[in-house]
Amino acid sequence: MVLRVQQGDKSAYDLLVIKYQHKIIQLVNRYVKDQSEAQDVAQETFIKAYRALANFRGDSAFYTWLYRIAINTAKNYLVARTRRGSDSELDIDDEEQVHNINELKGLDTPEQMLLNDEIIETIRSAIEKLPEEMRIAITLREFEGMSYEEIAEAMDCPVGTVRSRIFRAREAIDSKLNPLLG
Amino acid sequence: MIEELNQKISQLIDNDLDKEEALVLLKKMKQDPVLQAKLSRYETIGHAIKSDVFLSVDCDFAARVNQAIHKEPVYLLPKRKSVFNPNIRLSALAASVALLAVLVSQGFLSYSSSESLNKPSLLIASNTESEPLNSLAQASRPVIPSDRPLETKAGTVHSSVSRFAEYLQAHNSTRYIDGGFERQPYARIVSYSQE
Repeated sequence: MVLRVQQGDKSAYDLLVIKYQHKIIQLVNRYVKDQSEAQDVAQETFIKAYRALANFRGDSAFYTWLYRIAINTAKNYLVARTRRGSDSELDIDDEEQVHNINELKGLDTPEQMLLNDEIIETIRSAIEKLPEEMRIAITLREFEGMSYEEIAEAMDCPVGTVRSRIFRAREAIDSKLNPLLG
Repeated sequence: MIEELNQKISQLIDNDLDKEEALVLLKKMKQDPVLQAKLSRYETIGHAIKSDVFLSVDCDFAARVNQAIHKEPVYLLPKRKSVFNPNIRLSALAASVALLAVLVSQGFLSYSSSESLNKPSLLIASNTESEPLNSLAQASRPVIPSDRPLETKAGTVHSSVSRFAEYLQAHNSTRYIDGGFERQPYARIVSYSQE
């Protein structure tokens, strides 16, 4: 896909955006707590990446390269926002300071916080109600970041079974989550 | 069919699809917002499990980015420039041939001149058995350029050669004689022992 974009196929970039949008927004959201701002920064990240894609040599994985652009864009955004907002200096390498500033900004409205709590509680409850094999499989995958092969070894079952268990766990949680999201 | 696609979306999140399958699925997702929404919810579940934070992504996020991208010019992969273009290659070849020709001609000239210079030395070497000291003196005799008559040169040089032989006799050691005669390199090791 990357090569196709480098050869001038813009539509191939659409597919890269679809694939990586959530990961990039989640990453940016660690720096920029406001979700709307995080999406703006993520959008800027994708545009910057597109402009620089001709220089991407494939020395690293595309996502690793995109990850670095996202981090830099988020940090630059925070610096620019701090300069606009106050004269105080911000050490953008200090994650705690970034977090505190975001918290102080009070970007989450009470409604948003309430919805957040309700969704998190729904997901937790759905996970608890999962059959044990599914719960272990989804937990190992999402919490521990283990691959299907590693999970199969840990659970002493075929990879295909792991694949199926994780999918069914997601489907079960999604069936509880979907009504809340409207 | 839908369940199969949903399972593939689950695999896509976990990097469990090969490139071809991922490409086919992403193309389908591009055309189908329902599939994109499914991907979004699966990602949301994963993020919520990890961070206890619900992060919603606007369903039109990808469309907005794509709109912005389509306003951008096309940034093509720079073509590799050939290190040697055809003109430089031809010039380099011509220069190499010319240099080779010069070297060969110089080598031929120096070979032919050294051939002519070696003749007197060989003549001198043939006399060494009967007159050791004299032959030593003759062997150390400088080379005579080919444009000068050999006979006249031998006569004028003879006295200095005798003196040199006496010098060697007196010092009993080894000497290197560089008879650099009109840019013709010529060296010979000469030694003499009184015993």
